[in-house]
Amino acid sequence: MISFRLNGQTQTVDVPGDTPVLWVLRDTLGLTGTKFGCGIAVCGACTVHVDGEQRRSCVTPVASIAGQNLDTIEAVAEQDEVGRAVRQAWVLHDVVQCGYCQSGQIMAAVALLKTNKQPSDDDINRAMSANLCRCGTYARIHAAVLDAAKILA
Amino acid sequence: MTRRDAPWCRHLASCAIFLPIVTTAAESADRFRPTQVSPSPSRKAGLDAFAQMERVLLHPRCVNCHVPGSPLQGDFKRLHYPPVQRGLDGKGVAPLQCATCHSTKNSPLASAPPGLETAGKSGWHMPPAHMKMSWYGLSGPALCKVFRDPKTNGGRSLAMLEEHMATDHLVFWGWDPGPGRQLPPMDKPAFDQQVSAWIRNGAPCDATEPLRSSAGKTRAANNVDAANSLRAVATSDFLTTPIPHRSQP
Amino acid sequence: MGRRQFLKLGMGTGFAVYAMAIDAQTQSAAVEAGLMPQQQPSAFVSIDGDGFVTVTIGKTDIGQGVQTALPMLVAEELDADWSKVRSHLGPAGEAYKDPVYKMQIVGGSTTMKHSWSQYREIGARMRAMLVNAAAKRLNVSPSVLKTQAGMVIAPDGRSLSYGELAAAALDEPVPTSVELKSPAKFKLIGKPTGRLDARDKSSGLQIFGIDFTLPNMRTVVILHPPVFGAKVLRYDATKAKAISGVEDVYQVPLYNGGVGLAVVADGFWPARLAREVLQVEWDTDGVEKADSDTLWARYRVLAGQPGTKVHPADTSALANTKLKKISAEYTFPYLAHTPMEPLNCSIDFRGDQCTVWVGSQLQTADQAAVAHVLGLKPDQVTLNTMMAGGGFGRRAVPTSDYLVDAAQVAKARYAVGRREPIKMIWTREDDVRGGYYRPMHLHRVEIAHDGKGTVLAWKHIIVGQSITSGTQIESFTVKNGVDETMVEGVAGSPYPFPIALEVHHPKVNVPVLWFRSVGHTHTAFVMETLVDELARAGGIDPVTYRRRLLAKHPRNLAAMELAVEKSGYGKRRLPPGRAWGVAVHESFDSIVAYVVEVSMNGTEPVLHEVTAAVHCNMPVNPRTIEAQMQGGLLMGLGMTIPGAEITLKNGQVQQHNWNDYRIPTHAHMPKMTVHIVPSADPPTGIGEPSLPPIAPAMANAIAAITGRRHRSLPFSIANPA
Repeated sequence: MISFRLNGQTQTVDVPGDTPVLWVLRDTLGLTGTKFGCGIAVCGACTVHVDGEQRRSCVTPVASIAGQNLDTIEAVAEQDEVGRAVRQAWVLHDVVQCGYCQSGQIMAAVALLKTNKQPSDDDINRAMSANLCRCGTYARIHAAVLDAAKILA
Repeated sequence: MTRRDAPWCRHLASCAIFLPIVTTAAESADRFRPTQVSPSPSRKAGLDAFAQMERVLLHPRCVNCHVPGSPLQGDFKRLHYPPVQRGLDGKGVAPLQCATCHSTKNSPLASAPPGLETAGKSGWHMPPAHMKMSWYGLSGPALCKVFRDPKTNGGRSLAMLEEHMATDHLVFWGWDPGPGRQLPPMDKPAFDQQVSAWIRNGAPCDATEPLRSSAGKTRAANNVDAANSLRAVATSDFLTTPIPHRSQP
Repeated sequence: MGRRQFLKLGMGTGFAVYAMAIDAQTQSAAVEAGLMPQQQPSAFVSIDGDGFVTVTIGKTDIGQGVQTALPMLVAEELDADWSKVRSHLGPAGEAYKDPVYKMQIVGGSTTMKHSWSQYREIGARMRAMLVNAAAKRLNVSPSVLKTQAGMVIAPDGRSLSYGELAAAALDEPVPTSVELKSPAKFKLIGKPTGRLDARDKSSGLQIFGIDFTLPNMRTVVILHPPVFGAKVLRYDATKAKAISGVEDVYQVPLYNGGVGLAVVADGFWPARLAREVLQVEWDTDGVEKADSDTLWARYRVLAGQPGTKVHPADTSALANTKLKKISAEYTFPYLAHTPMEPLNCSIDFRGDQCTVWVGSQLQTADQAAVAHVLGLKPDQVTLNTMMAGGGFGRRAVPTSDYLVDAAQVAKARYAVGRREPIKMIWTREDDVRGGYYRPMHLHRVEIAHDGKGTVLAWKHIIVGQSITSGTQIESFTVKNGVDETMVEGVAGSPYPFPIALEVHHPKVNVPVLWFRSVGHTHTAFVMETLVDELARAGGIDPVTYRRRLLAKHPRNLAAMELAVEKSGYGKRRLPPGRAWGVAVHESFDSIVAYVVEVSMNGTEPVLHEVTAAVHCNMPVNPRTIEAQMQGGLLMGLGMTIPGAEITLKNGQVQQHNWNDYRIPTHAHMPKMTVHIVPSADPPTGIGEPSLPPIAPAMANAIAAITGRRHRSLPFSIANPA
């Protein structure tokens, strides 16, 4: 049995400890906002926050987050101050197309803004170049991150 | 050590905090015994040993992170993808730290990022920016000297170097890298033996320089010595004797 | 067609749970003679008591924005309150077939073009029905009533909301002919409009096919053969079945005659782990083991032989030694689409009925394919359209490959008494290695010109697999042995060159498919770099040269002139080391022009800025157009990146995932401005046209700086020639 705090609430799951957090979220707990894109942590669609830091849940064994705080897109976009600003900017800039990568993009953007309140273009490129988008929404993601920083300032 | 040899410790309080930490490190040092330099070292044997060590040091499992810039990746030593930076502490630049993708253990899936656990957390990192310990592109004497010199190897004596090779988690990982990654060209015990042989023979790097006469101390032994001297200071009449001011020149 | 007949038709197409709101209204909809199901408002518009308008669309949204743009067409003519408009993806069904293609399909950049009249008329019909219902209630003539933002308004100020009128409106006869607004009166069409699904997709709330779940659902992963079409010879599933959560392993026939193994488990992770430990011996006899090196050698031999003629032209000037010559060979590798959402589908098979949930671009074909596997008639299969995480063509497969495989698993399980629904998920490795690539191509071109921009002969051979031969659309696209989807962009080029074009369509054991902009993915590169080369050989500015060549093509010129004007080309001096690159290409009835600024960082090109102009006739939603321009540009730029190629060795694909099959990242996106040529003509496409011209524009700039020409994609240090 492995317990952790999920979006602020204690959660206990009975799965093998090596099960990636991604599949605990999607299959065990039914939270599908965190997406499966590649399974090897190169695309970022599976991004969650563990104790406030970005993690790729497709390669994070659930046993490794025992006792820690796990936050997913569902809570971050809705309840987190930075998450709400990011979402507001995302909608303002009509960032999404197919939308499948966007949970991960937003989680990465939130992680960036929490460590760097006024990211430069280079900061954003460096921080976000590990989140893939096949539709090519990067230009609007970039503008939205800059705007979210302004909203939060 | 006389009181004048303890300039770092004018305030007893800060010294007292030191003592418990030193005692723990002293305990773990017990397990590892550094190789001593032989009284009759053979330069040739030492150089041969390093030539073997070099095969491991330059192997992707090691050299991929002992680079001057961003890490390399894979058996073909390509630039790490996705693009990442070392960061000041060697743990990446927030928000894209090494631990974002490199978790507490290797994945069963080929091409997934490797991982390992250190003290309950992800132990994956590079050397820090101020001490890159890079030997990428070097070989032979040049590589050996970077490896051996405390100014470029993280302040390590030969004994500390040997301890790092023998006990460090990341070094061990080189031999347990997860599926789809080549193992170094000799097994770990064989590598440890070569390190030992190199040190025993005076840790030579080239054909002419003087051989090393001492392996120096391990970190733990260094700390034990420091602790001992602190105790000596604490129990001496140092505290009751005023410290003479150094006269101004 | 009477009312009863319509109801029969409606139920016969298998409207499912998702269309229940529509079903209820189908009961009360009256029908006018002569209207097809695609013209019936009841299949597309439902209005609830609070005035919320749900527009059901027949086109899958794969990111291209039709779930906003199509409702805009309806809402415009309907005079709906846009803030109360919602969209819904319609299931496979007669009403949702494309009016031109006669199948349910999203692709070819045709949605706006084909739907322009259809959806507007539907909106107009619904409006007329609401007005007629209001006229009865207000006891006035319909002709005096106006509509605005979801209200019907009488001259004396009385008004009724659409919500109040909805039920009664559906009892009104459906008018056949309706008057549409003139573009000057548009309130919605042409205005930058935010996507209806923006908020959900920015909150982790959008459900995609891969997110769909049912109670007791099982997850399936398939072990595909390492060589296309190979079969399982022997297997040992002991270790696989020992993994907790695994139900069983089934041997299943695959869509292409191969045989694979399906692991079925109570979740993705146990299925994935189990697949890793399956022990299999494969029978690879009798299937071609495609190998990239061997194929290139074979293609080069073919390029030296006469091919099937596309259109003849006089090439005798090639023998004229007084003329200047360009002799070039271009190569393009296999490309994988890799949409972000891995391929997946869910199937609930009940023996005499089946429901499928899938983000498909080809719903009616997929419906028929699943039915065929399960021994059902198509109308016994309900196919619900899910929001899809990208398509780019990969979700429009004439063979319905992954759906057929999933149906085989459903069938195999049903035969042993298992009734739980299944969800089949492809891993990213399955996707990168699973075929249906943009084919590899070789072009060989020989040109004789006078050194002043006049071309006297142009001999052009293209070698590449035919995408559509052997498929159900072959008769539309393969004419006289030539697959039009391979030659488009050379054939039909607006340039007045005397091109003698021939093709070879080798058969190769690698499944191929249309990849966003299809033939233009390679033909644009060849044409736009050769035009540039001809200009420079004649000492003519490449824009000036195109002005001359495109004199009879006002739309093409308009796009180019707009990009030139906005970029400052010819007016602004670039910093040292930077060069302009220009490309103008027409595809799918739209024209895109790029003026780019490039410099070289060693051997790597740096794309600093792109000024883009597009002529797609009337823009329906300028925000969508900007998004598609940015996205197509990025995907076209992606074709130039080292690592953007699928290669095979001895039958096995050499790439695995995005670690070794590279797609562009955030840092690749250049600064880009998009300009739309104003037009009031019915819209043409925007899904694909922005992809083709960027690679040649970059190559042209690189040639300006280095003097060397790239003749293949991706750009490699070894090649420029």
